[in-house]
Amino acid sequence: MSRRNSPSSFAALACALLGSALHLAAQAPRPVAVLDSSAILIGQQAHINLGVTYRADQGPVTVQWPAITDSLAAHVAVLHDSHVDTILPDKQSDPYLFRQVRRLTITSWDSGYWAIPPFRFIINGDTAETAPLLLTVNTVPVDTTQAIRDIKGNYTLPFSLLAWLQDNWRWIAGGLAAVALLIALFIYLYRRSRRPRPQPVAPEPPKQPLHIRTLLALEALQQQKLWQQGRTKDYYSGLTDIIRSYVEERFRVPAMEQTTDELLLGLRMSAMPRGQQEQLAPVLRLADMVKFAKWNTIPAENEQAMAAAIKLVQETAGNTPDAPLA
Amino acid sequence: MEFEQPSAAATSGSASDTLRALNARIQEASSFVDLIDQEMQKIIVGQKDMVQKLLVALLADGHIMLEGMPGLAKTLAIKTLSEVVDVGFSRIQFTPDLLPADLVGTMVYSPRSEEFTVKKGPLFSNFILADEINRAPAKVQSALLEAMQERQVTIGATTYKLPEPFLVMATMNPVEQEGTYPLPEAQTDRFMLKVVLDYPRKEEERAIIRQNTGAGARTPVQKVIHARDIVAARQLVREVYMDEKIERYIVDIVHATRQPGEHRLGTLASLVSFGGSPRASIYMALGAKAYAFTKRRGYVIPEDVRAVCPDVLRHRIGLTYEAEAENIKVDEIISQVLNTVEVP
Repeated sequence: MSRRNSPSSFAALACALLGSALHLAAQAPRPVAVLDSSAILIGQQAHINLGVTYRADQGPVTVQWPAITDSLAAHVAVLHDSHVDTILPDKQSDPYLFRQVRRLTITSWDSGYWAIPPFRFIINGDTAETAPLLLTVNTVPVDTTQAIRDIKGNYTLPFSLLAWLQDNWRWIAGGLAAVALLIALFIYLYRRSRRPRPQPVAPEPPKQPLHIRTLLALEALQQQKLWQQGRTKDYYSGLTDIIRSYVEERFRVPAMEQTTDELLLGLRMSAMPRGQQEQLAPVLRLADMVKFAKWNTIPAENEQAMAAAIKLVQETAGNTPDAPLA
Repeated sequence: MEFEQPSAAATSGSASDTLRALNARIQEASSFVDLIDQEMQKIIVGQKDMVQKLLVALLADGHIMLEGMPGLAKTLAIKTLSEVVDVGFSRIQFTPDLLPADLVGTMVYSPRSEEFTVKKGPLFSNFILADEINRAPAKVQSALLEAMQERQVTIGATTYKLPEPFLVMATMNPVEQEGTYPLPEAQTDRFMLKVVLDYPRKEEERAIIRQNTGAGARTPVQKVIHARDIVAARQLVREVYMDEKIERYIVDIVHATRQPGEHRLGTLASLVSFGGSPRASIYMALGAKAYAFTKRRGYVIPEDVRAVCPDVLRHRIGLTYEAEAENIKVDEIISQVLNTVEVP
């Protein structure tokens, strides 16, 4: 173990600088490098004090310092550089005596003997070097007889609720959310269990064939006995509505939106046989007379109209794709 | 089973007496329609729809507007009609410098008698042909349309009734639009019908050539009816029976032009800016009655309504910019309405 910044190192530097100063008058100034501790433990710090003393009464002196990087040698690192400082060591008696000093803090991370190369100065154009330095770096002796242990024992902090909450708030929030979710699920299931269950919908009965539906509608109209009650106009309105709906669906003719003439004209281009067309025409024309011209029919005409309608449906139903003739 | 065609003989005993009597009266009174038609055909080749609609307007006491290219016998038709009906006829060529006094007449000062005398204008006639009505300024149009509506004209401090029957047939040229004053919707609404004329068919046009380039003199037409008979026929037209189902049908059609969405015509909602007015319903009903009369019937059937519907609605439906941008015509709208509204 070496001493750091010991008075002896400063004294050595002072002596060296003083010695060099005595020669200033006779010769050029020389730089000096002093290592304060030549032996250190691995990682321990040491200091190099650099200095140049010169006189300025003969004219200005130019001192160019060496460039110092982060390492001085392969295993010697520079931790701190104080940079150059110029001082007057004896201002009262000799105001022309100047000294430039610089302090480097160094260390090494490898044990061994490491040589620090000389520092090269250029003073008034002349090159001057310091003496080389030697740094011994030792490892720490290990007592192998002792068991391996912590440098310091564990320190137990006193309990703090705030600190505990800061460490565990995520768990607390997650737990609360899970509880809320469970409550909501419970409420939902509870309400659902109280709600009356929808009754199973019975499947729609298969749609009846067109001609069956039409015949049923005609039969229903017949059973209303409209013309027997003097409601001939309603009877023929219902009759033509049923026939027109049938013709529209069966022969793809827009019968509901066409007048009698237009419908009969349109049916000429349709698949309805000519015989049925001729059978339909007088029914529609008679219906028009009843509906629009206050035409009073005799019972036989009303029965004939219904019979003609039923016959029309029966005769044309045979060609329908949805059902055979009833 | 055989179904007998309904006939008057088969059902005479059960038919409504009133309507049967009316039907008989109309059958008798409307015989002149065929005569007019025959006489018109001597001069007018084709254009049967125009002649039919002229008769409808004449019998329904309405006015008619014709739109068609020049040379489609618009003037000839009304001139011939005036000859056949034995009434006065005036033709007024509307120009931008026309004044209202040129139509209705004015007070003229006589230095000899030192008095103002009334000089009646060409409006004092039974049949008026207002040629290119949209070439006159608004105040002249307004004077004519007011006379059409009021059937009277005021000159100075005296009001004069226009002769009966009074029928205005206006023409509009769709090509020459420069220098015209288009009629506002409110004024076109005064016309009962707007008929759009098309070119004649090839056979008809050949007949027109033969008729107009032959060596023989033009076939003269005979007067087959007097003005007073027309006035009487107009009264009879109003008596033509219209069932409430037909009334509902007319209202449905007109309402569908106003509220297409309520009649399964939602696609038209963005194309129609305004639909037919109540005047459209009135004229459609009156036109259907007159049409039934020309068909010698005492009652209206849906065919009558559909026959006059396009001509009644054509100038009463406004199209939106969207419809005009898509080049959709009013006739297409009317056709859609007729094909959607259920026939009674």
